[in-house]
Amino acid sequence: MIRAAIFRLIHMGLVILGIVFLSFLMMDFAPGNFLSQMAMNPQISPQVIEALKKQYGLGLPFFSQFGRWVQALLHGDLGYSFSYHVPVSDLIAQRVPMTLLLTISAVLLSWGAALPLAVTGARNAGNWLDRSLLSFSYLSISVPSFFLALLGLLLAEKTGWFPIGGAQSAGSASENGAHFLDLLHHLILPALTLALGSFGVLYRLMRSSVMEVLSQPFMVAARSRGLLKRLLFWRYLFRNSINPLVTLFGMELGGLLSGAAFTEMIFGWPGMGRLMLHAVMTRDLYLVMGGLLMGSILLLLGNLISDLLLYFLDPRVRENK
Amino acid sequence: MFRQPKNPDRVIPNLKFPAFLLLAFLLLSTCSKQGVEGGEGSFTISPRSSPLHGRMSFDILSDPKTFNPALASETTSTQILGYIFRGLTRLSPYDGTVKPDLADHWTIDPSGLKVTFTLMKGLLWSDGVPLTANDVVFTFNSVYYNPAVAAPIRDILTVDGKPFRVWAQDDRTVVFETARPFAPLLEELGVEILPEHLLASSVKANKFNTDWSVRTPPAQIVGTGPFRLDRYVPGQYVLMTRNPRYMAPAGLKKPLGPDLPYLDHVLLRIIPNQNSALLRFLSGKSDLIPVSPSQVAVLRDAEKSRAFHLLRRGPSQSELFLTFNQNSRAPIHSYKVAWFRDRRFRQAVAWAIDRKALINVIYNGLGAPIPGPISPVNRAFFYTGVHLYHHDLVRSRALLREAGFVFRKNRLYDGSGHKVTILLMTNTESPERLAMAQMIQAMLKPVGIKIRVVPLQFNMLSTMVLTSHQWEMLLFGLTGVLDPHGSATVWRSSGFLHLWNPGEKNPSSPWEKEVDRLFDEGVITIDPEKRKKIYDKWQEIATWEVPMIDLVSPDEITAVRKTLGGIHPTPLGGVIPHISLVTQQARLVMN
Repeated sequence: MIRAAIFRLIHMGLVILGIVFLSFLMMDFAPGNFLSQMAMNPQISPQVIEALKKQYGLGLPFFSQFGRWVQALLHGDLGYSFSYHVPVSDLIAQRVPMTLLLTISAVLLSWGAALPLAVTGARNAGNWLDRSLLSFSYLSISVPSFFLALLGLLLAEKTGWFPIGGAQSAGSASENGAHFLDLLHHLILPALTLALGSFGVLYRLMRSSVMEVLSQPFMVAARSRGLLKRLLFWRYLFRNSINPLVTLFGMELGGLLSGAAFTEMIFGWPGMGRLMLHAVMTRDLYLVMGGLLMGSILLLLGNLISDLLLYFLDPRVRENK
Repeated sequence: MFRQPKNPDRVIPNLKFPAFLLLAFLLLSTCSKQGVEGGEGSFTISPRSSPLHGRMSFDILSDPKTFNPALASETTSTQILGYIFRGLTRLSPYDGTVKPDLADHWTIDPSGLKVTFTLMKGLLWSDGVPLTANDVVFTFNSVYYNPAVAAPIRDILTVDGKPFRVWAQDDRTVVFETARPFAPLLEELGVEILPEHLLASSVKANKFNTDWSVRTPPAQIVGTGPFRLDRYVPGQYVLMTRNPRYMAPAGLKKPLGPDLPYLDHVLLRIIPNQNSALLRFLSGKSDLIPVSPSQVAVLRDAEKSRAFHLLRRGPSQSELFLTFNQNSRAPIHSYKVAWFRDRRFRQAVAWAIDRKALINVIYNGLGAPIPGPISPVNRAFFYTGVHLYHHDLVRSRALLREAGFVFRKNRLYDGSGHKVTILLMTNTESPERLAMAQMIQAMLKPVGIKIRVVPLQFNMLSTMVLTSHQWEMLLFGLTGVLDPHGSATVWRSSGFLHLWNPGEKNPSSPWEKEVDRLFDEGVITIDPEKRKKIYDKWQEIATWEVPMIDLVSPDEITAVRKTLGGIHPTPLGGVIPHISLVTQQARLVMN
């Protein structure tokens, strides 16, 4: 088991190196660079652009540029953002907590709502509640998130119940309870939007899984033995139906940093998605690479965690090893 | 008071919603008030001492990238820094003439080579240190002209690649000397002046390029503008607070008393999405918002019931044009270059374009045709005698025939039998340009020219145009500047943005030679009237030879809340003639 985990970690390192190499290569292949926008400005001469290119180290051949970056990375240095003139790690550190706050609340909301509802729905399959939840989940799957976000904003504008965009009222910067409540007030709409988007998939997956387990012979056997209801539910039903969702959980972990970009843009939430989109558009090389690196590490970690969870939850997985 | 009063016009719909929602709503609305009024910390504003004080707020699309004026190169940063820093001169937003800012006055040496500036008396940096001529000398010699500083604006501060000579005569007198007369000198000296006492050490330590970044504590960023940086929360807002040590420029009218600026705060919210920004404006969360022609219809309906008005300022300065590749070394068919080098062909295309239709379809009728390289908005330099092209297919066909083209079955062929098919490139980032390219495709069909539209991403396009020269026809825009000399890099045959034939060693046609001469002469002619004559001649040639076919420009429209005072639409400077004169009490201002 431990050997397998260590093997996985080494494997992950190699995968990350591969991802990083390929993205660096693609950034290099794409025409233009951070300075292309300036090159079309009549007020800036090619001499100045050439000088800036040298300062930023953009003129170097691909491998020495990549080598330098990896070397710095091994010393914990993510490089320097061209457009902000500050270290990339500073920028990312600023944004990560806000994105995590948004995505984790959304995950809690959607899982917290979808799991119990799906169990109830599956047990009463076909009744009005189940059918309306099913249609609701169709809707949740098919409506794109940016549209939901715009509807949310419209709701805020028409009713005045929620702030329109942003994460803080200007001025509430002191660290006290009021500040926290203000943040929560701003969080509701974007978190709900994100949660609604993933509710549908979760609900349908969990529902079908519970229904499948309910029809298994061991369930009938357990029930006919007259086991306690609570025991029956947790040990037999829930534990057996959760497997497909554990895999999904790993993927959700991977999307924690990058999955909310649309929602962040529309609600003006100061998170990673916005930072990265801007970085890609302006070709802010090291900022893009820093963001990609964080994203891929999280994705691989998510997969690892979900595999470990499965290992502990499901004896069949354990025996296979 | 920090929170704006709720818009009294807003009608809360009388909906029946579940009780728990109501509860949540009540809870949240109380806590949001606490958040705003209770937790303000350092900048709770004491009860209003004068009705003028207040806050103006508007939304910006992206974060500032730096608070260092010498390094700033994109508009969000420069807009913010414009409130915090000042230069020796400023431009009048009404007619583009040069006015004093930090300078009290100046004298120009009869040779035209030397300008002596006298600074205003008693100028202070926002930290209380006096501003002297040494700060000006430091700003130029140690920052803008320092090769180790990544200053993108260095070029506009040089003549023939040589920096100005700058020295201090005494505490309030600073002299600029140029190697030859340089007409736009006064305009260019609007660049921000920086404090020597705070930045000299970082220049010496070669750390200037990372100094005054977005991570620098706001109190350390010190300027002389009407506001100082109070707080920047990344991704959320930039708050600026009144600089009590601000000294208004000489000659600025102060209708409400000398104590400038009138506002206490300017709050810029960072809202990356234009729809969200519009909703925020409609619900009273921001005080003004630029409106695109396509949004006007939405706002017209709301204008009656809500407390704002739409101000239309006339066409913007932005330049949108068509141009052809006339570069004989370019890797495209040489017969195509031959078409493009024929003036009659270019004129025929200019006659075939229906600018009215472009304005009606793309800008909902809210725009104006731009006849030449200088926009009519730029009253100081626009030449009224330019050659005008309106929609005239008969003329267009006649010119094509004259140039040896023949029509066969509604298609145009050149003298040696090649079908006239042209690739038209434009950048994908602008949906308006894409739509315009498609309309131009349809407009050139009746004269037998087949256009294939090729949308490309900006970086890709700029590489193809500037580096590989692999393009035929281009729909593009460049940032406009007021002084025609700013277009020298585009119009001089040796210029790097002489798009149709970049970096020529020798002008490849007599008219380009003439334009070169005019630009050489224009930059050394100090007398404004003589200078205008020179650039008139250039505009005449430019619109006759049409290497660039100028098209249309959208109207600039701004929606402004009625409470704001000190607002006045100007052709060149937006709706705010001077930020220090804005108030939250419109009725006090006599317009």
